[in-house]
Amino acid sequence: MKKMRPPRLSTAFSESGKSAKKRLGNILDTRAKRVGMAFIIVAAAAVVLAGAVFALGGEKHLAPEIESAVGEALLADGDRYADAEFWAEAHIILGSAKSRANGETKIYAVTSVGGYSFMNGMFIKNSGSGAIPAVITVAADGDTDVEYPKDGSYYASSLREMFPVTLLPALFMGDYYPELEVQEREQAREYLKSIGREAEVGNPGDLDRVFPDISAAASNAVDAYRKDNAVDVYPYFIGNTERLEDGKRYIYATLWDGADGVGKLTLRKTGEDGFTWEEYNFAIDGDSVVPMPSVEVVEIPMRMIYDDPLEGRHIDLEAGRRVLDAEDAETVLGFRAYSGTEKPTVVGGEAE
Amino acid sequence: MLGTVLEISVSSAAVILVALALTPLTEKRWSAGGRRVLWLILAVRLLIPFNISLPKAPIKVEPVERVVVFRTDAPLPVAVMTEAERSEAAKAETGPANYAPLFSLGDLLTALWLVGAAAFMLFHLVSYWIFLARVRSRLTYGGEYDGLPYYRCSAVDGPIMVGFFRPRVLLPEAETPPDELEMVLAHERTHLRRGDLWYKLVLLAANAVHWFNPAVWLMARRANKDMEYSCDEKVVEGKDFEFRRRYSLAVLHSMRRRFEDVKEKGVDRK
Repeated sequence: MKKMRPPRLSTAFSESGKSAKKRLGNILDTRAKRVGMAFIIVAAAAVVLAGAVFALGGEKHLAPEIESAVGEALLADGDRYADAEFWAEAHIILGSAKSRANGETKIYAVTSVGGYSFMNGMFIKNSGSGAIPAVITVAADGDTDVEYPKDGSYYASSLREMFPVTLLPALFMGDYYPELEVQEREQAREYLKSIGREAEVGNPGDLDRVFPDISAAASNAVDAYRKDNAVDVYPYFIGNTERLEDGKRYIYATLWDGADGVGKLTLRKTGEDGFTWEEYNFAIDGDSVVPMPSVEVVEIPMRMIYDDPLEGRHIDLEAGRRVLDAEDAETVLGFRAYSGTEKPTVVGGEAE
Repeated sequence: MLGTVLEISVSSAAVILVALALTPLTEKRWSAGGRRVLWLILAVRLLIPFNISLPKAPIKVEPVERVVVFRTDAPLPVAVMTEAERSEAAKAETGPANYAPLFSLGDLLTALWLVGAAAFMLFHLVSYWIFLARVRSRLTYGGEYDGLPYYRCSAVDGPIMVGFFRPRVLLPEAETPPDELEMVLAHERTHLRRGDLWYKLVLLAANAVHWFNPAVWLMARRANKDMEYSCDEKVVEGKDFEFRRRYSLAVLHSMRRRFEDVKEKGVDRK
């Protein structure tokens, strides 16, 4: 009968007919041959790495609306951190997966948010986060949800639950912060452009901070004063920070006129036009801190005439900015001026 | 899916080709048994459908601009637009409202790949079953060698072993001298001990999934060769030159018989 060709799924004894010489040579070679384990291990490692190295751009490219949803979701989370003038976000996407069932897209990323404020004329990231892994879920209707890993000892295990196992090596081994910083700073620069200001963008470490050379006790006393009187916003270093309040820009400056623990420390708030709204002065001598006459300015919106029957005072305040000096006792705005023995209290037009 | 397969296929091809290139240079030093393991590792890698990701992938391939294939209601020829043009058209109020997206180029390629892989696998599986069916009626029991039964079969021209779950050796009808027979059976028994039929199945599967990749074809061919050679090596391991001589004679005679068969019956055999 006609001979059949053996199927691929069989082994044969004499199939290697073409290279008979090689085969026989191999059989007759009595020299011991090594297995070449090193070669095998290298090849196995190479092939796994090759697959990891050669990435097709596909799954890491997201639709633009999803990309912007991710950015917005991260920014919305930014209010967890302390106040800043401008918030930037950055993200590096490691992978994404789209669920066919409910149309939601899960984005696996390393993220950061940065709060930037002006300090000594630089735009500094003084608030926010470093590189934090996050899983952002964008639902079919555009709703977003951001999930961060748990803190402390649960960090690694929560990451393993949140991220697919194929992304874990990239997550744990990667150094993402430099690129995240680049993204954040780009946004910060665009903001600077939009407000027409030129400033260098940086980290607190980029500031050359100089502190008043006062004793630790004196420093603590000033600090206690700041906290008690809710004027903690002034910088600790000699210099200034800026804040936007109700759309207006104010400069909070700390000044030191002295040496060797003796001198005058001034905390001054000025507007963009240079007008002084607040000023606190302290005479410091070693460990002693004595509050000095201060200035508080209030914007009086309209003319106020007030007869205080108890104290028999007649108060007549014109509209406009008014410096309330040490002589004034009380106004309808309910504030007390410093008279030399009492401590000044909250200023800025708020009722106490 | 196809994207991942392509990633795996292309990246593995690089390693495969290097290994194949190094093989002739290292044949004298490194055994076929070692290479057999290497090809198995590569074949398994080819079948695992995902990659681990590195922190930053140095080589990035930009995705092909998607080309969407449309069809209209009217019997017009198929219009092909790029993704950009399509979104333009979608934005325009008076866009081609009677166009409905059928499928994209990506889907087309994925379908093509799947069909190719399925066809490949089916072909080999079917020819395997046909072979088994045809020879079933032409077997004469010959005995057992170390638990492996062997038969004389009029349908084969060289010794082979088939059967995943009930393996059997099929020998050609012509008588073989007992010591040669012993060599043949020892060889096939070694295949059985190593699970080489399953190895071949894994190779076949990898070849099917990556049917479009010539490097994988080359690897499969080489792997089969190394599998046979390593079996030879195992049989003659530790044996003296005389034994090896007799073994090689058995191989030669077996080949010659096949050749004579070709001459006699005029069957075109490679």
